[in-house]
Amino acid sequence: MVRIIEGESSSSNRRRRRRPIDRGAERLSTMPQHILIEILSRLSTLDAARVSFGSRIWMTTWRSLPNLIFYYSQFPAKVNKAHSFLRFVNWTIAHHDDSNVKILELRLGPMSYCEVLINYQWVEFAIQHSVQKLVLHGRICGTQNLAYSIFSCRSLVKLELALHELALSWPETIEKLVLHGRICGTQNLAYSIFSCRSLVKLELALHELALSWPETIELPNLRKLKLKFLLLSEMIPSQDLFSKFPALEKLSMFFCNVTSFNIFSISSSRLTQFTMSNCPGMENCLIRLQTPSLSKFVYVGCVPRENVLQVPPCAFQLVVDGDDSCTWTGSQNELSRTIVKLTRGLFGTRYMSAGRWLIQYLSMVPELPRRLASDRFNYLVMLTISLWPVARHVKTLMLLVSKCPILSVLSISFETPQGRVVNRGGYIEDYEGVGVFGGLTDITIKNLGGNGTEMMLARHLLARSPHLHKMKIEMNPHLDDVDVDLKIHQILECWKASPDANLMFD
Amino acid sequence: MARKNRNPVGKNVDPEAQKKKTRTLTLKSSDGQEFSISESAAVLSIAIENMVEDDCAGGVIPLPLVDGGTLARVITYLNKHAEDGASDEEKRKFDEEFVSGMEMGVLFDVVLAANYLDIRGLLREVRRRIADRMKNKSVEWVRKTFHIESDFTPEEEEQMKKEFAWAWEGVDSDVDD
Repeated sequence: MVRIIEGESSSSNRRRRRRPIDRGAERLSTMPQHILIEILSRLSTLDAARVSFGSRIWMTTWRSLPNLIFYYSQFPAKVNKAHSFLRFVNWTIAHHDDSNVKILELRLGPMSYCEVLINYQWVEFAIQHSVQKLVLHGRICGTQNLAYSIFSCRSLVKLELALHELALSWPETIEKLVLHGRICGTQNLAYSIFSCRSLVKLELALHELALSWPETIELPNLRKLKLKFLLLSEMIPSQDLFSKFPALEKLSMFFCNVTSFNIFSISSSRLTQFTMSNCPGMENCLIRLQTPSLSKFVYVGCVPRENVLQVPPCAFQLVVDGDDSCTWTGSQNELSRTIVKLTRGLFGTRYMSAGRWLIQYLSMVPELPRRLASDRFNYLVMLTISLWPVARHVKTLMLLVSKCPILSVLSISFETPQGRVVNRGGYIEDYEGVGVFGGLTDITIKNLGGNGTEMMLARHLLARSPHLHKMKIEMNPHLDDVDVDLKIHQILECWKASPDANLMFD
Repeated sequence: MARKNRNPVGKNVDPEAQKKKTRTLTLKSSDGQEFSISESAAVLSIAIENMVEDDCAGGVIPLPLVDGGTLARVITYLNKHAEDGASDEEKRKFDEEFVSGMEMGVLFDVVLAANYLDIRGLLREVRRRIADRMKNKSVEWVRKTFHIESDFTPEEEEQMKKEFAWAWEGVDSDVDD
């Protein structure tokens, strides 16, 4: 066998050398179109475009591409970015042939940087081409008919909208519904969501929306429910909210206001995962679980004293009580998965504050940069966080910060772990996955003790934040005057990416 | 040959499967080379399986659209995937190495052969590899690699370069990896 491979491969090389050009064009034109389409579909729409500009054969393929995915933040043009992007999307849509479009994904964010509006005609185009998955992030123009046309689109199975100021209601065949942002015209919202029988996954991340459970809920297929930023109100005191979703398996609540509850009771025989995190009012309400199948329980907040947390003993548990007390039981793998998911939930807000447990547990996750490789926390503006002054934790923090493009105010507080000697060396060489902190304008570092790691953090923040206005540093009170002078001197000598940044010491 | 029993009763001691292992077929490439291969490996190709079932496998199965070099590669793949006791992990690793050294022309030959012979796993693997190679490359790279000349008119070409300048900039070096 081996002999034959060797013999033939040299003869095929010879043949290729003889007529390279004919052979290439000939090969491409004999290739079945469906294979070319499948190859191009594996690429981002950008990369696929580069290939298609190579020749007419590829261009023909391009015209029937089923997945059209446009990320503004990944668009490479440096000059006239908005204009070029707009031309590209328009051109792609204008040149598409009659074949179906399976996915149209337009992510025009972060909101504050992207001037391009989603054109209503792009959506209309997708609907006419029997789109199955529609993802729209950004601002949109011409929304009068949008809701009507999206929701009368029979081909649609997945819809994700993060649009500002849009009034809507949805189709009856939808399986997955994700709504982010602010929404107007909510009168019938709750009613129309909760009577949508086809829904399997529902994610509502809507600000300032008071969600009251309508009397008739018809969601027999709903398996996954994620609620964020909602104002939950109690319909009848102590009535169980979630008993109305017979198929519910995963429930998570982030930043939902539950102040009106005295008892928050969940009984569901099929529920396997429950997460409740940073919900205002959760410290004062009693949580009553009747969930025999529960295998994962995550609670982040202040645990009220008399709580009836009847979590089955074999379930994975992560309970964070206040800033510092954090306990978990279960496997290390499960912890890694949970903490990464939890971080995604927590960082999906504008203002976020966390005790040192977050960084501590995140630092224990193997291959964190790879796990977070495609994450961008596009909403976070302000972050307050505590951590130990050790290399691993500092590295984790830098990785997180570099994933937040519009984060502008960062406050870091160093805590000295009790009964532990802090490693004074700890230089960090490799910053895998860490980029520039383009949005940072205002940094506060509290309790800086001046060990190698802490100094390294200050140095990197200065060197990687081109728009920094102010960095305020509060020294650890246990340092003596000589030490303080020395550290201040060292920090003043650091190179600054933003030459006008003010440094203040306390 | 009699039609195969589609629903063998005892899975572990299926006599049909045992027979397939010992029986060999001969595949003949477009340039006349002959390869012998066990039937159990050959029928991973849906096209060959159909030919065997339709009893055109009297002696030699001719494959007029696959040249010898490509067929040899495909057979290496089939043998590995029909091997007794090869774990999924091992097969995955093998797939990875199998495609990693191939130049683009060879990948295209293999993808055509896999399509013709209807070998789903191989088709998927090679397609993925081709797409990976194309990530973040320039228009020029595409032309060089596929040995194609631009068939756009100079005016069209100029227009495209003006309109989509970014497609010509900020890409990986043209060196094939």
